[in-house]
Amino acid sequence: MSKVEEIFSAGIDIGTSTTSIVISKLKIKNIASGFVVPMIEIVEKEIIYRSDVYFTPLLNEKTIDFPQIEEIIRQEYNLAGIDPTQIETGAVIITGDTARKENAESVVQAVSRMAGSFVVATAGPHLEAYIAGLGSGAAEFSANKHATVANVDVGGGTTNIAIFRDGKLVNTICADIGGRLIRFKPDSLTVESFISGGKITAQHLALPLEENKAMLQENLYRIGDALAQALVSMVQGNPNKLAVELAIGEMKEQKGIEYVTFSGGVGRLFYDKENTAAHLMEYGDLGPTVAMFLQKYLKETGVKVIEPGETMYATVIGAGVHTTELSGSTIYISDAQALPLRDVPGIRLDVEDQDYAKITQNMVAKVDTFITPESDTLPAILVPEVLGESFREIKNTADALTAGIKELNRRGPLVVICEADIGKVMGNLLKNNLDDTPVISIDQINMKEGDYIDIGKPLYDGGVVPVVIKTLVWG
Amino acid sequence: MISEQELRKLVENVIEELGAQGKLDPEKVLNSSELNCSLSSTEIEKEEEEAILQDLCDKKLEEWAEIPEPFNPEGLKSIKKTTPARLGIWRAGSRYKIEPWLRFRADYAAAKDAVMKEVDPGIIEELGYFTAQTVVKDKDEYITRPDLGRKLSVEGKEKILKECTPGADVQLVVVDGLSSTAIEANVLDFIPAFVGAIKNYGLKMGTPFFVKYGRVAVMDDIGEVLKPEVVIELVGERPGLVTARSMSAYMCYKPNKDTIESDRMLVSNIHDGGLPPAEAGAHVASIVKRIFDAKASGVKLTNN
Repeated sequence: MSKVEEIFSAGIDIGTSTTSIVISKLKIKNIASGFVVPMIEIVEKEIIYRSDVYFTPLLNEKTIDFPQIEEIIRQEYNLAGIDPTQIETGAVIITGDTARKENAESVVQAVSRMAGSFVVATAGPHLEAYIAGLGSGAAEFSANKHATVANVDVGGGTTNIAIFRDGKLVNTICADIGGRLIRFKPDSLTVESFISGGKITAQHLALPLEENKAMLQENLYRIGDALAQALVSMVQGNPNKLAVELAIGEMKEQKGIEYVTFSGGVGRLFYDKENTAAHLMEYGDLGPTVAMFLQKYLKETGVKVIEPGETMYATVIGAGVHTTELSGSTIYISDAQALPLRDVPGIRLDVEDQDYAKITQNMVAKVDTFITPESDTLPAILVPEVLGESFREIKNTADALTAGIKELNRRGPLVVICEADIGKVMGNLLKNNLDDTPVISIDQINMKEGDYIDIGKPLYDGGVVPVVIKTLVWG
Repeated sequence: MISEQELRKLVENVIEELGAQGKLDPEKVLNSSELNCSLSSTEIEKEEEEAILQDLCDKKLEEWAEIPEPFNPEGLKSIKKTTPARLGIWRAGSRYKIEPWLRFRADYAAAKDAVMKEVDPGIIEELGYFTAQTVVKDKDEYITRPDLGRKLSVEGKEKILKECTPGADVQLVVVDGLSSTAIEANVLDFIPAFVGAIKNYGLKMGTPFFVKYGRVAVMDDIGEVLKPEVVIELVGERPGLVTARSMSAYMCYKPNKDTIESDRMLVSNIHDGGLPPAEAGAHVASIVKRIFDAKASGVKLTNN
């Protein structure tokens, strides 16, 4: 029996309305039999701690209260009985409207550094859609049923839909639809504040919306009704006018969805049919009203709605439990001290044939757009499968890359990501050529040009590295 | 058999009889396109050239399904992708369909060929290796006497003593084993990747060579004669119906006459559809390095 290695992973979700943390334990094991190459995989994921759900602390409408977030994390780690130094992987994600605050980027970077040795920073609605779909269990359901499943994550500020076919992400659709587009003063219909999605919706319906003014019950219903209809139209593959107005990025039309799952705060309310209708103003926002109308319209469409394993915690579980992947198990790391590497952009060699001079040129031209004079950092180079896996072809490619590195005159480290299963031999050949440059050569990772990669320190006796691929825009 | 001419004559007679009844003109009927049932031999050849039959061995087993109307085509496709096993090849009554059955036969023939043929001497020459033979005299004896494939001949032992430096860190040997096809398909990619990686580790390679009519345990004899630290042996695997091109790399720390099977280590399934041979070379080198450092292999190594 091969040994089992355990690592702790943290997920932190800083959303429009709420912030939460989960700690999980990932078990890593070589699942291959003794006679073939190792296949080191995450064999078990166990959530060992879920924090309370906090309202995301804000200093004002434009600024996140970082000290307060730091305090929440410290306190929750204490309750979980875990120290940041024990956390070996994970992700912090800043989502929804909070990602638009002025200090969002610096907060997410700072949190990722305090939360553990390899907790990566992520953001963006399309990435959130994907992560929520992994966390809710929709992706797994889709893989098991070989079906097309849309996970609709309805949070405070945004709705992020991820569509999985056969377990693989095929599309993401995002819009400014959420439970807290408009907030009310406690136990009243007096508007406390609103964000742009709320304003757009009110304008679309030609309804008045002003702070400190009471809203008519009838208008609250009309807004909830319109948002629910817009959302349902997106799921049905023909977004209506309001949906298009609220779209984040391009409003894509996705047909052929067989099942729908809901997650996020409003997603949880959607499944809680009795309480939601009875306590519409419980949270002082639009959440329960939107959920109630969603129930009504989805019933009319006849789309199969199923309840996922996770609703409220889907995003944070996705971030903490599902974002870490392992590289292929035959890799080459010349120098483990060069790791971890964070936020390395990927460039892919554009080659149709094996013209090695052209490969060097192509590499130099592309790398040039990413480097700065004062830094030795290089983007990761994605080596396409067409360059071949025979020794001669790999050697020629390695030589072409070496010529490129010499021309660029950078110390590196050099990160190479091979589409074919040739990471180890490629790394060996590059290291033969490049004495001073640390070489990290990995394979069997699905990464595209424009994606970013974080690479952690080797695990399992150097057999694998944990990686997190961050795709910010899905084509 | 009736010749074409006789047939033509027969048809003419029939038509003539019909024509006599005022119905048909024999010349017109035979040359009209409507009754063009006999083709000239050159025309047949031309048609055959246009309709080339697909080589069934080119069909990917991971994609080939014959289920007429699958309930979930995408699901079937993704299941097929996971294995070269013959899933979903359908049936005609209680039998195989013709094409999957022919493919079975072809794969079986390829497996037999792989066992029976000799490794192309051109490849051994390209590697620059010399050949040492076991005590086996020919292929028939090789197949029927596995025990003899484990013993180097006297001339073989003399030859390796003369050509090789004893006591190397790493001694590489290539052995035909049960698939000459596997050796031909993989060594030219495996060896340079392996040798390069071994050089990176700073280990000294002995002079590599080829063993004809050998089985895995022939490494014990080689170990006795050359006394290297680690032996790595590339050997053709017993072919199956999925591939005849699969090669194994066996490794052992100081193999000798007392070596038992649990002392050996193995990376199998080296071929373009399994672990690509170049990548395998780099991977196997890292295991050899581990064996060299630990001064142990097999269960003795993995249990520590």
